[in-house]
Amino acid sequence: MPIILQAYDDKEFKVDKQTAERSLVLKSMIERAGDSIAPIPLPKLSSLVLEKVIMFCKHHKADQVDKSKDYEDILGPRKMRNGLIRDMDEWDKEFIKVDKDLLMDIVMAANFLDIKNLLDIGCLAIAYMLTGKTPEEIRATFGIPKDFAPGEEERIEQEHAWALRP
Amino acid sequence: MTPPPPRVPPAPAFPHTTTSGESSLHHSFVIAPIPESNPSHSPDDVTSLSFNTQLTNTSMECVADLSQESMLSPFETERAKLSDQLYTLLLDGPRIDILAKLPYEIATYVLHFVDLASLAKVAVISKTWNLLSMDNEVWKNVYLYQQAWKIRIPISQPQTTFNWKQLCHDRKALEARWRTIPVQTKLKGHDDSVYCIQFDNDKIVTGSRDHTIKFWDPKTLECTDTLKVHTRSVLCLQFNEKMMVSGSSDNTIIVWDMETHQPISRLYGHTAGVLDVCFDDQYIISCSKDTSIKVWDVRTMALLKTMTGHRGPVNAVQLHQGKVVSASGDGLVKLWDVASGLCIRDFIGHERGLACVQFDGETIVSGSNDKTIRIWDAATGRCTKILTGHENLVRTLHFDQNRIVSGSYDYTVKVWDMTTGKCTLDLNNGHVSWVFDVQFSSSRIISTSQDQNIVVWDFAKDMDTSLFA
Repeated sequence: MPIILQAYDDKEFKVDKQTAERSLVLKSMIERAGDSIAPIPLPKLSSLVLEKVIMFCKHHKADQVDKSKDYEDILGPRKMRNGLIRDMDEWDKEFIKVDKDLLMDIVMAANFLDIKNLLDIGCLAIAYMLTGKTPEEIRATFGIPKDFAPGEEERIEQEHAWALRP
Repeated sequence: MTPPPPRVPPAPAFPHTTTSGESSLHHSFVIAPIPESNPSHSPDDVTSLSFNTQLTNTSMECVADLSQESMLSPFETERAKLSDQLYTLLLDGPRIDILAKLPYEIATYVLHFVDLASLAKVAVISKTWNLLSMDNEVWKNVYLYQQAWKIRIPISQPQTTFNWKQLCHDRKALEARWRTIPVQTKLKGHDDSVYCIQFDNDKIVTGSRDHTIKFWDPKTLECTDTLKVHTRSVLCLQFNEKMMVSGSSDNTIIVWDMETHQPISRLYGHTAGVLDVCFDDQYIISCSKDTSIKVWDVRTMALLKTMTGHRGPVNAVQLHQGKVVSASGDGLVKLWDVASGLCIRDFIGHERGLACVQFDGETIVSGSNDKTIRIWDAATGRCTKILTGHENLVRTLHFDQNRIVSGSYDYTVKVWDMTTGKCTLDLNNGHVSWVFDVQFSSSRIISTSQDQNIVVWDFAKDMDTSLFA
């Protein structure tokens, strides 16, 4: 029996149980409601974001349970090194190629719905944007103005110089 | 519905934590052909590494595999590719300060995926980013996962009191010292070749051709105890906090009580010298010049099975969660399943006999008489790297996530970067003969040699390294 999810604009999405259960929040709601589950309102999610989230859950619905474990379990320390995920497959990479507004909304939705794998992939995509860049490039990427008091930036830079040495 | 509270990222489960006294690794030893200039050595210490298999074809295969590997997944290229795609997109897209807009818990969780150098840059972006960069959990993640450094947690100090940023800073300073030859101290006391060593925070234990096992104080470097029960060379040993297992060219294995230093049991079964031993809470594994690998019950000390298949002396074994990796003079590394007693896989590529091997469940590293060290993927059997630089047989090695330390019959001890495969340090002024065994911690390398010396290479002089494992 399909589960009906309602975005804040009242647009409804029918999903199968297995897909919905990628979200641990939805999973526990479904378990509590049993067979007579009413449409689930998700007033925090736009239909654009919900559609994206459902797309992800559908694609990953048959994943082994251990795939949704903590990222350190999925990746192992060696794969985590240098801020890289080698296990992010092509589909996930394509999926997460979205603009920053949508990316942020996806991350928020993944957190809200407790979809571990999606949260990790979204956070990783954000992390990629700042990895290996100069501070100027990072500020440009995210449109961040400098707001330090005079001299403060230099002081913080000096404080962290050790971390940048080879 | 009620929105759940913001997810707090899970605390990493400290998979690398070791308590003091627990020594996780053990190394591998072959007994070497004795040089002719030393006629007093008895022939039973001689293990043939000269069983020279002609594996040229398979070796070529391995090289082909390597080139494929480097084309398929150099992770930096992959990262750059993804980064470029995202970057292009992002410069076109809206410039919003995502980290500032996300709730604190999620913003800091994003930083769990950021490496040390990038984190230093995060600190100078803006006031908000600076605040995020000070999160202790973020630095803990950098220490344990991004850098794959280990930590020793003292019982007296709960880890919640750790300043992980400071730990990163101090550890980085210690790591930097691994690029220059450190001060060395020699432990003198054995009357003959020192074949094997293991150490932890409290003790250094060595086995020698003089039939003894010696205990040394790692601080004073004084010999604190000498055990003489084996009737010939002590070729290999491993200990944990409760027991020690040693193997000898007297063909026996002795199990010792680590508290009293008394023998608990003696295992008979091998028909030639016991070249390597290892154990966990289930099995004792031994290998011998008699070409067999034996599995013993660690509680009853009964012989459970004998695994045969190598066509030469088995010089090294390593046990990891029911799987054994062995290295033999026949030129092969074999992976065995202990429960079934069957060989799961051969790792083919070395052109001459093997002297040493270590296995962490994922990666196998082996050293050979062909002067190379090879890194293998245990799951696929593929050789992923060949390290060249030693000028003679690679007799011993020890690796962790970050580095490999090897000892050779070229008298040197070398340090290699696990990721790049490059030699990062050549310790060529410590020994005047063959290096037999080596082990390292975050702050020390200790190597033993035919020259009767045990050399302690101390990278942490005048540093407090009590928390670093």
